[in-house]
Amino acid sequence: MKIINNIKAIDVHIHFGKGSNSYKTQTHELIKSMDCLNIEWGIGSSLESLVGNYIEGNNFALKQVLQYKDRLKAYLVINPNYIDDMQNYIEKNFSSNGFVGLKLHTDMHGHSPMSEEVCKIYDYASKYNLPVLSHNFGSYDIAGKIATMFPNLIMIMAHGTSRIKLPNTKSEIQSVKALAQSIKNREHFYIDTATSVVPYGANELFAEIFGTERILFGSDMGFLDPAFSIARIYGGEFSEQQKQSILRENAKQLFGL
Amino acid sequence: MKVNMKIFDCNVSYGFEIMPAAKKFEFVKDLIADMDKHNILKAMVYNCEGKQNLSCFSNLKLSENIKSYKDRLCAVYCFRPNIGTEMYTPAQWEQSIKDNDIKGIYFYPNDYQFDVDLLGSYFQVFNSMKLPVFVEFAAGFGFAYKIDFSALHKFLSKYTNTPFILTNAGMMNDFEIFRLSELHNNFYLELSGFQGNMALEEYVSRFGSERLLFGSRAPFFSPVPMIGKIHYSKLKASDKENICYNNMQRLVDEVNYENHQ
Repeated sequence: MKIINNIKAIDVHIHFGKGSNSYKTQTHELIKSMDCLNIEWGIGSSLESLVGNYIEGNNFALKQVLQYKDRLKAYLVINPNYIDDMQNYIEKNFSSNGFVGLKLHTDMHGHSPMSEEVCKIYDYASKYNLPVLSHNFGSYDIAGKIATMFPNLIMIMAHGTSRIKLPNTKSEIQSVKALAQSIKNREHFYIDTATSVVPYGANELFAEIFGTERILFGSDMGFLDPAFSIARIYGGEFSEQQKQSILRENAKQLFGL
Repeated sequence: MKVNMKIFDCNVSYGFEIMPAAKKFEFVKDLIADMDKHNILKAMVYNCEGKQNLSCFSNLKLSENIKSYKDRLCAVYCFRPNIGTEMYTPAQWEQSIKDNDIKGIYFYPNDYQFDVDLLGSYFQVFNSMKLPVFVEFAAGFGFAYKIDFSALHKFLSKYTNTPFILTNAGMMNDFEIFRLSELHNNFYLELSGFQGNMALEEYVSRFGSERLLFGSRAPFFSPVPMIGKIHYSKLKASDKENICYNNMQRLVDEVNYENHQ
């Protein structure tokens, strides 16, 4: 039986540049992978901006996006240790039309997801309708608190479906359901699927608990091999309509692609 | 997800989980149903209860549990010290392995040390039979290392007849995995955790495909991502066949209970 990737997917979580333990990460190689898997758009951040100089990393990301204008978009990585001139920095970079949101990696940058500095970033993003893809909004409880404190913040919880521990405990499921309940009437809370450690059935479980419209396809391409993540959707227990939503329509609506 | 490939999954389990995950195979028939769903022809299977407590009880249930599926399932014992039971001495392990047609040993050194010297008398038995030894590594973000690579290197150097299969590894351990592959012909890698961007292709380009094994870690993880990766990759058909089936079948065929060294 043939597997047909019949949906032009949008991958909301990719990485530019070389990281450890990943190969063929030059941007033209990423584009080849995208072609192979029928991924039309990739939205990403540079690995350097997460683990090194965020300014140089963001410049690198922009360069890739400008080279592949009809395939790539980028997140501007903000390091919460360097936010004195945040507003000017964001405005200057967003004028290039290559960036579509902000990326945070609070763990890597030594902050809690609710530190004073990080909250300033949420505040700014809320005011200017900038989606924030965060590697970690904390536990499900903390993510719920952030969602309540910043009701207009467009939140994308990266690796969301892997945050459930292995094995899933009943108390963990309760936290997930509590978060789903707290954001039920809130717009713009999303979970991406980028991860290597999704428990069997977790993507489907999250789609059921949060609603398919809140699940965004992400692969961590450039760091992880995208074939694993896209196979989880095509081979998962989803209807064709759900696959369409997760792989394309939700992100298309969010990012206006 | 069904594809046109023969698949021998080297890493699946069944049994009663004290903390069940979203998916579980409490009984062997649940495992078989999932294998059928994904067109997985054969599997190396252990009883997960052996990871949680004394493994002797679950090991002894294993052969009985899978006897109706002997053409599809190969039995793997979980190793634990099992002090004070009838499955404690190396001789007792050896006899039980032979009596029950066991084709592998699974180590999950969560609360005991994978010490090459202290466990040497057991390793000698397994080595003499060329019995595949699976070791669960479980490293990476949020997971503690259960074992260090120097112990693996020592084991591989000493027990060269043993096919050593590292499971749940990859992602941040490529250097060690490549180095062990370079130094030891009896080092094998179960691929479920090896998910770095194009890492599989990189490995094959350096070392070939003969020591790579399709593994899912079902029921904790779905076999679908692994099936998808193999399907989508640009590896040669012969490499895919090696990874998906031939390599594990070869290791099973080479187990020899009478080959004492």
